[in-house]
Amino acid sequence: MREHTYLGEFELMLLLTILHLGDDAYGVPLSRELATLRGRDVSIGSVYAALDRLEIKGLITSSLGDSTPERGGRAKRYFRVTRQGLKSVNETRKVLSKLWKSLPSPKEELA
Amino acid sequence: MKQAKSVALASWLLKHFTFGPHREALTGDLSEELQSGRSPSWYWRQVLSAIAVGVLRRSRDYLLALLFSLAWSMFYPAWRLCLSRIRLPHILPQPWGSIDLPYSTGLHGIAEMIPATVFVWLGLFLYLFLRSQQISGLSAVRLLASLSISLNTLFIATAGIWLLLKPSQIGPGELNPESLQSNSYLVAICIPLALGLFSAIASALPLSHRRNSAPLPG
Repeated sequence: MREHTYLGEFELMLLLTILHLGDDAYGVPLSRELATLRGRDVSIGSVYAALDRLEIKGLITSSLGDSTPERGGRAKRYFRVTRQGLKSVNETRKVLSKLWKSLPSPKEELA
Repeated sequence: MKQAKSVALASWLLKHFTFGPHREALTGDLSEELQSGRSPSWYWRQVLSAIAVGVLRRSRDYLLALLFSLAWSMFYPAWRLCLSRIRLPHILPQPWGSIDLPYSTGLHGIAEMIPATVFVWLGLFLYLFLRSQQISGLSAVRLLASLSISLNTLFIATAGIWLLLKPSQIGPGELNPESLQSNSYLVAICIPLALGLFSAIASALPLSHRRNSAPLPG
């Protein structure tokens, strides 16, 4: 496994949303939450493609839940952030925080 | 009822044209959203988007394999020259020299196919080694199947090229310094080798690249 796993913008958003949703992190609430946060509709196919990438990188893990009639008898797949995923999120936050701090604030820029 | 009819084709497309480990979950999610009041047009957009994303992801995997196969096949002349330096071709056909036609021709063909097959298989193992981070869970059965598929593809492609270019008598077996300078020779040897290697890689690529999936609860 590589020492550093670089996260894309969408991947980082997904990881944070999974953390935010906790035990209810499956496709529908994930895409709804992302759509609300981004202010535009999200393709569930893109969400699953990114989830697949994150799972390959070992940043998340998934397990099957119950199937329900409104899902046509298909089981929900729940996602959970792994320890490595948490570490990667924290590292990304540190780097982004440093980068933001190195920039002038919008007020200073206007003045 | 009307809604069910309008999305039936979309559901069929979703079932047959999406790939990956999460297909069932994706289908279930879209059904759940549809039942909760989403419009059929939203459903169609989601299905078409999911298909496009899946096709793009898969084609990227296959494109890389195809480019590698083409690049690897270019090294075949060097491989044959290395083999000729160690005089392997002189050792192999000698016991078959006394065999009568048509068996001698067949055995000669087999002897010429062996270096090409070994070259393709070396390419497969190199690709699997280079992409070992991305490709996991390759079973021995799948590996054997991909080796077998590559052999068949190489044989069929070589036979096809030989039939097409019969007058010039070129193929992966025939190699001499003059033929190496010919573009048609390079094309003739590259196509079967690249196809053989690409078929091996494509059949070795697992349907999903998943790792770390948790066991089913209960």
